[in-house]
Amino acid sequence: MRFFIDLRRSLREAMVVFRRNGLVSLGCIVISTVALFSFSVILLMAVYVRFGTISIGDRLNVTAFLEATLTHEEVNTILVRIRHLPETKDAVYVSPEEALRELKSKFHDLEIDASPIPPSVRITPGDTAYVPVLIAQLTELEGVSSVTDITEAASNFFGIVQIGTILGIALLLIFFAGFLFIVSASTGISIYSFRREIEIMQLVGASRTFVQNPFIILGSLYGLIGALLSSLFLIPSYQRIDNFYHAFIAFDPIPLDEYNILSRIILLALLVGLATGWISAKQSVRRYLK
Amino acid sequence: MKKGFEAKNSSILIAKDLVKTYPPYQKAVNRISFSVEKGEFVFIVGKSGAGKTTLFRLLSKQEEADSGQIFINGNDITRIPPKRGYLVRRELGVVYQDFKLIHYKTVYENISYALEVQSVPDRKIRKKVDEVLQVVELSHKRKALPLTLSGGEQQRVAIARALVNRPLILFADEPTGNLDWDTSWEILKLFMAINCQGTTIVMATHNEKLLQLMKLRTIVLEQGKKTDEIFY
Repeated sequence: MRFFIDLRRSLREAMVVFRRNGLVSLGCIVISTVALFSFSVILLMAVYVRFGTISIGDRLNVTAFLEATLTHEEVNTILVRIRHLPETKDAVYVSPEEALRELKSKFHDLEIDASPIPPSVRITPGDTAYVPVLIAQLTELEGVSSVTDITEAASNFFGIVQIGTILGIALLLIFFAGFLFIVSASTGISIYSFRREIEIMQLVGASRTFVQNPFIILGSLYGLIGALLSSLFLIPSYQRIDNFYHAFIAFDPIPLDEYNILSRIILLALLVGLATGWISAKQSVRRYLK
Repeated sequence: MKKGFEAKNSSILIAKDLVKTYPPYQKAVNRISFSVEKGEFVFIVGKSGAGKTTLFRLLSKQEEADSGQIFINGNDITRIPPKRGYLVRRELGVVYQDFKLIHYKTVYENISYALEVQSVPDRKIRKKVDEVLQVVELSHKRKALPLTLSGGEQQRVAIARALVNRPLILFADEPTGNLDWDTSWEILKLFMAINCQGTTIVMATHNEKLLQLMKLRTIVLEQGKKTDEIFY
């Protein structure tokens, strides 16, 4: 009962402070919106870049050419062994006839009837970092005559992905720290204008929790409204980024729609906005409680 | 007239050897001891910087003493952790020279706030606030904002807020400091009426004229020390 009485009073007090601090409240919401929108866009871009690299990485296949004299059973045994390698994500057998069809589809004026390409297994590595190990293991397999060496391409790609990942994380952290600082500062300004009232509240016997609660609700409200507004702006940005991505990477094997990227980022933005508002308000009001 | 410190069992407030030093070495309160009986009206006098406000802040647990003890109704409040100081303040009423009213709250809301912080239900709050508004004769101004009131009226609101909890002791730190003589006298009469109903009052003032008129027990402070105690 006491809890509900206090909660109702804290909510009412938070609304009073929100209204009385009209301009500062508006400023806090705008700042939260801009900061959360920037954070969400950077996060969205980071997600698409990550998917892009995975998608490109998937096309870095290793081909193991088999000896032409192998029986059907022997080919099957090799295929099973390759599929069981821990570095293998997927392995597909390509017969000489299929290889010829692919070749003809790329070079239309090619006039040959017998396939010059031996039977092969096309392997997708679990990660581009596994390529050197995978090639070494394939080379040692009995019945494998040669393996296409894409180690250099893979290591270059792996390097780019690593740099991209580090840069992405650094950028996200910088943005997040900036966001925290800006939201804390603006919430702090809002609470600063109530420092006298905070002192009076304590003088009449209000507990720390009772004094803090309205301001924590206020901070959370700033964060929540900021997150909702930033989500509204994020929807058109998402569509643009998504269109650009699909124009850039055609025939993407990753079913992006299944990941609900937008709704996940919106949910994250709401949580981040709420938590940041909460924490920054708690920190700011603590200063005046000492 | 007699002098000296003598704490009795019926004392509602006992201060023993209170010391408070502000950095670097300024002793704002220096080994002050005194006691106040239940229902008593005591003045604390002294010039600016004598230590009156610091003493009040120690007595109402707004600050912690470096050493010494404070007993309120037999409980040593110096042993209560500062974080729980609000529990002590709920048992006391404090009135300040600058009223310390929340400007965006109405007279009613300012008074009721002292009860709201204790999770008192609205129905009880209404009853108590109405009673106390009658005591300070401000029932007709319940919806007014403090800044629309005169200085005397604002101080009466502050007194009502201090009284609404039925405090064990009412501390008043220069409550007439910002008021003209007539208004000061009105406020003092109000304090007298409250005291007559049994509330213990400890009031700081440097208004000599009031002291001469009242002729009540007076503790004199100078440079943080108790230099005299006058009993009429």
